[in-house]
Amino acid sequence: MRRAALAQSILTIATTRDRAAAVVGDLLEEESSGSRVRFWGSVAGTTVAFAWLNIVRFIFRRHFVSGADNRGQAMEFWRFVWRRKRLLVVPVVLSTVAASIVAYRMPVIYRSEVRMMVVPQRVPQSLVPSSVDMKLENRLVAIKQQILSRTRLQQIVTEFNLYAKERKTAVMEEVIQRMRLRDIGMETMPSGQDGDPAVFSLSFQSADQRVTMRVTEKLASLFINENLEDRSRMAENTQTFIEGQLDDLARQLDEFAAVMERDRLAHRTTRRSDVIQYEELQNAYREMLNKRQQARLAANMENRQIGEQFKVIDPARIAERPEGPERLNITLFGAGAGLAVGLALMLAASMRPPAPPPMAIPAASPAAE
Amino acid sequence: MLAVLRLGDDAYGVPIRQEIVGCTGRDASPGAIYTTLERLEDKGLVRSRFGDPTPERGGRAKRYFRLTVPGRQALVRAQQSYQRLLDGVTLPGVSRA
Repeated sequence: MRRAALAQSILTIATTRDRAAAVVGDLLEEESSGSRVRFWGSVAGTTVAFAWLNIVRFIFRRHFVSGADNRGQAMEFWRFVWRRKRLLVVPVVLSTVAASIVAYRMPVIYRSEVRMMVVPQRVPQSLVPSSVDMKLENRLVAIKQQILSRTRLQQIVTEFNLYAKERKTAVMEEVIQRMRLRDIGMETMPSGQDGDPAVFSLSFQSADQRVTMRVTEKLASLFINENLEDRSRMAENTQTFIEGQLDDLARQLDEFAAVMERDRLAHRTTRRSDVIQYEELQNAYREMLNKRQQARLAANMENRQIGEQFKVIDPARIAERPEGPERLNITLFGAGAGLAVGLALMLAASMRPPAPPPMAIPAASPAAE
Repeated sequence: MLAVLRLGDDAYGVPIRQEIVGCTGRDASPGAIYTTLERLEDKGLVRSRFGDPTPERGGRAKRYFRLTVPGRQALVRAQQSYQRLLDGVTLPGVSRA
């Protein structure tokens, strides 16, 4: 019964070994009418209840009037807190002041955002099928990875002289990582067909309003250009691949044609299997010619920029209000931390053994004088 | 305390809980039962002892509870107070014997 032994070990955290054993025995006896979930729920609940009882016992036995009624105990409790009020007030005040100083010394952060819409290709797919069949959402992620590469971001950092202070103390990799993870944001809003994001936003944040806006514009233009280049590259690659396949097929067809010509001149009958293979190659060649035509159309469409594109619908603006820091929240967090420290100090003080009563000094006897 | 009194010599965790559930119709969690019994023991109203280990409980002993003299006196006082409060009151739908 490893389960029972484990339950007993858990309960022993909060009560004596024999009491824990008795409780586990009871829970095992009751388990026949309940489930395992109920068993472990009871173990957890009972452990917490015993632990809480121990805390209450500790405080009340040590500091409060034993045998007092509930109201009396409550009064004693408040007297206990009042006697140690400095342990609570001092950390709360110090921590709140420190947190508010830190909050007001933190630089103001501005955020600029650009919203872009995905414009579908302007020629019907039935006429010119796109050579890019990757889902838009996945392509956005791929483009984002390219834009957020170290090389690209380093160019932006240098161009706009970003993180001048940080670059003095940290290596470029750390600065780039901070820019990538903290300061650049991208959000997609799935509202298009098949859940594709029809609108997405790019944002950047920094301490300078104007620079923030210009970096956001730069990121947006990189996104737009990267999409166009990516699509164009993909269309060209498709065309090159099909051209290669066509060359291969043409070479094979020429070889078969030469064999058949030799057979004809020698008045021999070409083997049936060779004839079938020749016909299959001819079919494949014709099919590939169609595909090449489609690929040319697709490449032409991408080159003329009438394929799927990203269009800016809300350009980047100079932020009117700072985005952060959230000074009130930081100050409140400081006050909360101070409160926690104060309560811990009060608990620690209550665990200190009570001071021994002062020794009575015997009154000097006249004989001693 | 009433459950402990009703069960007499067989008052340990499981039957105490069953007695409370049976008489009041309210499900009390084991944690609430054990801590209440602990607090009653702290106040000297009940006393507990361990029985012999039994194989059906994996060799774990039962912890039996019984009322102490102050516990019985507290029960009597509570019953008298309750009775005094009830005297002269007719509860709707309840016929007095």
